[in-house]
Amino acid sequence: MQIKMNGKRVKVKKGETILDIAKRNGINIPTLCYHPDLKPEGRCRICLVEVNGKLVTSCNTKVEEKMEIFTNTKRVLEARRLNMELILSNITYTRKDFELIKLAKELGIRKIRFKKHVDNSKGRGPIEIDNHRCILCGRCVQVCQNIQGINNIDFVNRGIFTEVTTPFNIPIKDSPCTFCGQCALYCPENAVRERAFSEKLIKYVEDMNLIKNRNKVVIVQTAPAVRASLGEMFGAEPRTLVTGKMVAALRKIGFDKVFDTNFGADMTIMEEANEFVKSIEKNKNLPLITSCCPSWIRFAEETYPFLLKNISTCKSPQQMFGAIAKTYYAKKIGVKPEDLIVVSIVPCIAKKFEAEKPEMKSAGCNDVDIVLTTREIGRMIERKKINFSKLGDGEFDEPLGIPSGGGAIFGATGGVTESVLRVIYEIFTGKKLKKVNFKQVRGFEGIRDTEIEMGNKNIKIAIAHGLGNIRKLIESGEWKRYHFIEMMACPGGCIGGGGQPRPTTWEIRKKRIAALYEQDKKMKIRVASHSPAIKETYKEFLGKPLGKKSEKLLHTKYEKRKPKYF
Amino acid sequence: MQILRKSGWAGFEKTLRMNRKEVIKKVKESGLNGRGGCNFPTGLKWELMGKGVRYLICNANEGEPGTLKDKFIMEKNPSLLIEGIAIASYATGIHKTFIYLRGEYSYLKPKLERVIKQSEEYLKKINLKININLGAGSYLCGEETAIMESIEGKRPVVRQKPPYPPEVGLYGKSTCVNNVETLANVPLIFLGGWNNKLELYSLSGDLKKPGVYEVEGGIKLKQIVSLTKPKTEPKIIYFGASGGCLPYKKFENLSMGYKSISEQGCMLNGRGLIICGKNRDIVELSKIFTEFFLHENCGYCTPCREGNFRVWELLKKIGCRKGRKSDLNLLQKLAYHISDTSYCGLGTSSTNHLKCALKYFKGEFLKLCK
Amino acid sequence: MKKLNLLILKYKKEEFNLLSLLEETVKVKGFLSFETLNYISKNLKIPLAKLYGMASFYSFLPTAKTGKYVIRVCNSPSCYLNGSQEVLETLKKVGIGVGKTTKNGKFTLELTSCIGCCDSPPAMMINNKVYKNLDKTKIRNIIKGLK
Repeated sequence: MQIKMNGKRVKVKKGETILDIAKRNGINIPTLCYHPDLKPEGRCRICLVEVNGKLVTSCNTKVEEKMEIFTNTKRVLEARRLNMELILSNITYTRKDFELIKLAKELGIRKIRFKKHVDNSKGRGPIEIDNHRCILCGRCVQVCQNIQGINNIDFVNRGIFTEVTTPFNIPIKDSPCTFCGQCALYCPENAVRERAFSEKLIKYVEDMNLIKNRNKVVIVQTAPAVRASLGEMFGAEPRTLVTGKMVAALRKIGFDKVFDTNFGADMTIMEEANEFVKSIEKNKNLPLITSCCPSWIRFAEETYPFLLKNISTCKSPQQMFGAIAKTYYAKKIGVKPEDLIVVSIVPCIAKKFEAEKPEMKSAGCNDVDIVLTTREIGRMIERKKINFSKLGDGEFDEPLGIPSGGGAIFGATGGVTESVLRVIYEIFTGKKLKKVNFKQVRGFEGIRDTEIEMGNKNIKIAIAHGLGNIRKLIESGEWKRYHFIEMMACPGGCIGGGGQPRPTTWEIRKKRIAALYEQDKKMKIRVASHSPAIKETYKEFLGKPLGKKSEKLLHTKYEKRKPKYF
Repeated sequence: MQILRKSGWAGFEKTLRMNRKEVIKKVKESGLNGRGGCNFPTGLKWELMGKGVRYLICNANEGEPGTLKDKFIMEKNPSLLIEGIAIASYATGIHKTFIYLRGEYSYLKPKLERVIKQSEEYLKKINLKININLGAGSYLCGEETAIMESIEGKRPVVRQKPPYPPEVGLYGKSTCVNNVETLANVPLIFLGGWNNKLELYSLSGDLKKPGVYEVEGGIKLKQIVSLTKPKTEPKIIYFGASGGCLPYKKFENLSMGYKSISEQGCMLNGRGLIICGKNRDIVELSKIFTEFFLHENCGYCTPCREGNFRVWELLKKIGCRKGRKSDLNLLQKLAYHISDTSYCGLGTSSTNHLKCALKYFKGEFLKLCK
Repeated sequence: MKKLNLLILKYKKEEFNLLSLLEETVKVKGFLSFETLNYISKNLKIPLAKLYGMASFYSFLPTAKTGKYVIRVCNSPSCYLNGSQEVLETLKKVGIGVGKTTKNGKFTLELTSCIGCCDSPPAMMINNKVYKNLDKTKIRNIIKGLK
């Protein structure tokens, strides 16, 4: 089939949208509510083009025979500009880096002739929806309903009173929200966003360079997925790892020590692998389900309490790190646990909620004091006027900073499984692992499964990412067939987490995952149990995996919970 | 009135003696067009229906301000409507029909239910079930795909077309949507002596005798208005809220018909005419019409949601003599912009009235501007 | 609760659809409270957000407490041309303001779009009953009759 686009003949296939074709032919059509992962709805009316004398949205109009499309006529440009003006007229916008502001510049908007009229904002909980900024593009609603299957938010009311919110405006923290934060990740404008829960502490951390006679020691841990995406906020390509620059920037902000959560991840692997071995040997509570994802844990506690006995009792890497820091490390450097502020930088919003859980207090106070998302730390770096792209490479501090490759790939879907496999291989077979790459568990499908032979055992593994896929796996009853299941609430694993830089699409997720595997490849130590730092910690402090001390510090309990309002 | 003729299921009995194709052919030949507003040939619509499970929806969500012909039929001659539904269902091989009755007419529901019960023996012959679904106060639910969303229990947002209802409709099945007046005319075709040209017009506004009139299409505007005894000399004729408006004096000899009206940039939607007398202020009227769309738009797309609000703001400003000429320019731009870029039919027609008002009465707007 | 269960049962038997279920619920309960909608959501396994999103769209499905009588005055052009503003003024004089519920919880006044009574304006609906050709005395009598 042939159509005409801007006067040129173009070959097209049936079923393609006008936007697809324009992209393929290098024609730029600005979009706002469109997102490659979602179904185009045509709400914002920015991607207008002229087809046979009529204006249509290019994102959801399929090509037909004899179409004559113009993407740049005066009529099109004016209509786009006016729509943008109408959108902007009703919201507050401040920051530079969001899609909306970029787009407004691109469309050439100088003045807005209308005044604001919306006056309501709903906060509370780790996520907040700010109606001052919402442009009703509907991405968050689509993600929450169709991809994650949580159905916690929807459009309410109609006409000019339309807004996105929870039913009856109940506070998000009391709703069945799992805090996966995908809604915030997909928001083109900072309307759905993470909430800084203790602004005082954050202020302290941000200003610590200025505070004299500081009596608190502030340490920071960075999650595996952050280094693969932080660079994007400063113009780097999605595949770039910015580990060194990130460490340098954190030092410049003034953190006393910069550690790697990969260390916590290694510890999680040790504990989880041993727990799995025990379960297999006793043939009890199988399958074992991973527990690193706090959003998944909240989902299970609320929706599938019958699964709680199957979930590994291990804390997440962040909390393990926090527990070790507040006990082992605090003692080592001679600081009271209250005076050690543990900041963690994560790609996740649910981690904010996890850090505040009452059971996460191994030394009497919160194990992790502040949780910042990748976006938040990026903005902090910006506010501090640190020229990120020009920074040299910094190094993590010891001893909690030397990880294995197993911890590094935690951020990718299938990563946890692969790391655990590396450790249990040696336990089951007694041989040294030669082929460290378990490529069977890598991939991007929502639910994957595989079987791996180890010694005389045949281990059945399933991996699910995205809450929608998790729900599918559980409700089909398929989950019973496996020995080990990895569950991650965000599509793509942590690299696609709710706190990651915007925009995040599947293309970008794949690049970030590739970066993590590359990092793993370059590491000397690829198996967690070989890491000297881990060995030392167990020798000096914890004893052995699943020992008395690690049971107390590194493991937790789950209970059936009900959201306050349901 | 023709539409008040009692058929007593004679028309239906006649169709049962024909096969389905013959029924459709006869309807096609009769020249019956959709009376809801799109003027689409009814027989052709039936012919386009797909296979498998299919549904018929009788659109009784008559929400256009100034239109009350469907209510008139359902009040005065409901059995004709039910018979029409039966014939349509027979012709298209449908076994389940929904009557989507607007919530404002809920008092008609018991009456319709009684009629359906009384005609059970006929409905059984073609194994037809008729459900009455009440709306809950939404003008948008008069759009065929919005009705489907509403019946399915979702927010009634218009679906993107294509696919059209005969391909993918209610619950994903092939669906036919017909207006009340269309269906009520169907039995009359088979009774014989049916006049295709007779249509129902609802007239209201500054009139001594407002109401529903049955006249032949093509009648002059002047003639139809004189039937209703205007209180003062008419100044503006609105074709419902979404159809636009015309100055009466200039167009009093215009003949009423879909084609002739649309040539003047208006739409003869539900054939509801609102006649405004000579002392009416066009800016004030435009504001009232805009308020209607402010209340009824769904909030889905930007231009209709935000744009209509801005239009209302500007009209308010101009109305209290605070507007400038630049405001008027912006108003005009917005009016065309909204109808150009909105998502659904409600949006694209929501500023018709304003476009026409600015075309024919710009002077009055200018007078109020600084 | 019994009545609600009955309605839910009817819905499950496909005697009517979701919109009708909510409408019938309003008739029984007066309005759609959080508890009511949550109960329906749990029973039918329809997410609450979707139910609320849908209910809040329609003008006839209140999600907050309303008066015993909901007065809906037609504010569309035909009635406007024939004195719907005076209807509102009269109601105000009786103590019923637009968008408000009276203190005794008896009346709620809302504006509505055309209710199809353009042939006998101005008109209003009280609950499901339509009152046409209104004037001052008629309105006063109607309100008195409801007290």
